Amino acid sequence: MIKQRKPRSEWYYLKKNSELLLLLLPGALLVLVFAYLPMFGVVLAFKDFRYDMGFWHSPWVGLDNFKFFFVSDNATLITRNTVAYGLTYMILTTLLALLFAILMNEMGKRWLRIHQTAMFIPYCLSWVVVSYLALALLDTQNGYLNKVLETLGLSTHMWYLESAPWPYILISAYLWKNVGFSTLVYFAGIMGINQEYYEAAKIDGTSRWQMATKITLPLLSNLITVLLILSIGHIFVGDFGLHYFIPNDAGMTYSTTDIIDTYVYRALRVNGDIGMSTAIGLYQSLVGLVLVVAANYVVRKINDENSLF
Amino acid sequence: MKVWKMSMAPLVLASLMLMLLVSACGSNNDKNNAPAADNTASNAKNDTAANAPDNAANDTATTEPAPAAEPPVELTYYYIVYDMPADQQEVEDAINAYIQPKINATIKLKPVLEAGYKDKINTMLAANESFDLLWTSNWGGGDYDNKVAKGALLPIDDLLDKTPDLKAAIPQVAWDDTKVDGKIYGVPNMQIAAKAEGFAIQKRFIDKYNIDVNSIKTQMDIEPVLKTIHDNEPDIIPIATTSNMFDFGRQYGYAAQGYKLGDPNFKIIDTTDKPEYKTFLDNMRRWYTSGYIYKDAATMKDDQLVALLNTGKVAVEWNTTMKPGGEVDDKKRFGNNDVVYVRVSEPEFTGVRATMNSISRTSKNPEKALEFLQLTSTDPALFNLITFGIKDKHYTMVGDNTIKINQDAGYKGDQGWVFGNVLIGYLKEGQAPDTWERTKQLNETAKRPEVNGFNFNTEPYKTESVNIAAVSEQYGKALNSGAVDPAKVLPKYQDALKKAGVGKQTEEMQKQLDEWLKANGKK
Repeated sequence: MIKQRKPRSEWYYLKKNSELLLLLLPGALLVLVFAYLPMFGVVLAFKDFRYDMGFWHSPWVGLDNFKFFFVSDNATLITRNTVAYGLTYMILTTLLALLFAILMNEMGKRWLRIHQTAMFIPYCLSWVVVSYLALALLDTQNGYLNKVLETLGLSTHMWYLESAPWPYILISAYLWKNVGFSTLVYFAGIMGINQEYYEAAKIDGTSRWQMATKITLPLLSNLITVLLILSIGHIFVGDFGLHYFIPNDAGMTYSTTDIIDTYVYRALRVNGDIGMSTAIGLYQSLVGLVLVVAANYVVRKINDENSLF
Repeated sequence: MKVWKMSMAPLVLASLMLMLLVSACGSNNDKNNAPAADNTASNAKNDTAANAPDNAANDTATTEPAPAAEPPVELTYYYIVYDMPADQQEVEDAINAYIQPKINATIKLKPVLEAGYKDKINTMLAANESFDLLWTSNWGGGDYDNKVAKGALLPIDDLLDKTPDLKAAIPQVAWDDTKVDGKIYGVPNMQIAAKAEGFAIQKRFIDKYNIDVNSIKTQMDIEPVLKTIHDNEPDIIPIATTSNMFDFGRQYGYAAQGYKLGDPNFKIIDTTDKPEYKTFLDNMRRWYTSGYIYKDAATMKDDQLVALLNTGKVAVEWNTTMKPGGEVDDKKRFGNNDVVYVRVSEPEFTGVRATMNSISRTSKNPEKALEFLQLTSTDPALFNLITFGIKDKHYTMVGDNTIKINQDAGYKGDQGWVFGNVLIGYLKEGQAPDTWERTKQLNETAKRPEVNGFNFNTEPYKTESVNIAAVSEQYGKALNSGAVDPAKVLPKYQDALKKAGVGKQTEEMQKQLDEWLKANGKK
């Protein structure tokens, strides 16, 4: 009684997946409103925006708005900071999250819950809140860290006036806050792996290490590449909250904490020039787009299955 | 079939997006209209309530046609505050009851906290939001020059002819000072326009250590005072911040435009290249390492400074206004400790751009907005109401024209300088009865700067100024408060400024100054 399968109409698929599509709707709307609609504003990057002339009548200025960023000597330093931090965050988060996810998989249920919650809570905190925690640790006069250093007989630091320690502080803060979430994503990925693989492996007497490297990781590779490609696009868009609030916007830390987002915010807070802000936003988006396409291209060359598009 | 599918998909998506767009815009408009309708309704209610007593009194005259046929206008007014008043609504209602019969308009007061003032106003302007009045200035969040350059403010020259009282209440020299390219964009708030610099010192320490305030003649003469306090008062911070003490070098013989006074060439020198700046930084470093300056001065934000002063633990502060009667305001800021002003420079006329009110380009009723400003500048009843709140609730009269602010009530901001002419307002307990006369006199007699009336146009060096500002934020505060070693950091600062284009900026400024000097026959 096998029927010949006919090609179905568009409507059939729409109806069949209507519930799933409905679930997609809020997300799609969000992207539409916050990513696609504002895109028309890109025009302003090439205009000297004046309130009295408005969107349409402000004069065109070519690439003048991009100038301020590229003429400054800071451009290279800040671009370097942005990319280096972005890459470090991406790689370390992925590695740590994978490690934790695999470890969690080995855990009993009760412990699992405690760990999950403890790791996930920081993800829900805003950077402003975290900045006060950081201040309590790093304050020159009353900070815990200096008190500890003092009792240990070590020399104290004026953290907010030094640039050297900040890469470590920022990376720790980022990992503390974000690893929990990525861990959950990978853990969910591991839960999706068919248990039969592990049962078969157990019968063959495989060690836990081998199970992790020979079964879990290869089966997760699809998920890992998708997440990596997606986050590569964000390398060039730094984490403003982290880099602005955690160093308390203290001048002497800029050489190691400043990224494009904080520099632009600070530079433009002075004159509120919409054209210049838009120009840098456009620059960031373009580089982000190039990075994503390039990463996807490389992945497709290596393994077509894992690429995004 | 396959081909059809592929080509259809984007089309369907596009039309869907368009539909959403249209519906989004539609609902937006509805939302915008709804409150407007509400407002007119509530205004109508206010109207009858406010006019009720008048109607009763004029009962016999009801046969006359109603004078105000047109509905009252609602104005929106954004301004800076340092503390959100709890009784805002109550005061606003009282103001509306007072002004509606006078100018047939009500006002919606929108105080914005100092820290976010500039961002908030810029965002509203960017969003093309309709509002009428906004506070502007040449410092902090006021952003006057820039807002004029960006076309955010309405020129009011022509409108002023319709408010002759306002035009007459403010001296011509003040109007001239607000002009950009020959046009007026702001109504100056009359207050102290002649500023001297000096120290505010807590009186209890002067008494305790027999400090001879007459011996303090220059900025550096304060050092022994700081040392005395540091050596004898372990819990007291001698001085909280020194980051504003050099500025452009007023105390060291420089004009605000950057040239050395008396220089026949009016050569503009960047602050970091002034030899006096280096000496100043070395002194600050010595103060800092000696423990005179608060340890966290370099990273302290404005609100943290206010909180620190409020504890009463700070002995000395550098004051850049030294206005008559200012000790009363500072007593409150210093945690209710008496302070003494010690002037180290002569008052100089610094112009009226320090506080103004402008009309937004998006205002629908600029005439009414200006009429409101006319009242805050000429009508003591309104000025006192918006500044001090309601009598016997927010303040009590303690003399003919002197009041005591009720610190436990919900309207104690005391920000007359934001709203209008402080010289028509009440005096505060402790201020001499002749305070306003002295202020007026000081404004008139204070030394005029050589290039009085000259203002830079920042537009030609916009690109550079953005980067220079960023560099200054990076190094300036840490250096000025002595927290870092100037021998190491100052060269870095100068280098960064050079790369940010300070040379081009100075050149352009010099060009503008030279042109002005030539035009005015000074060079």
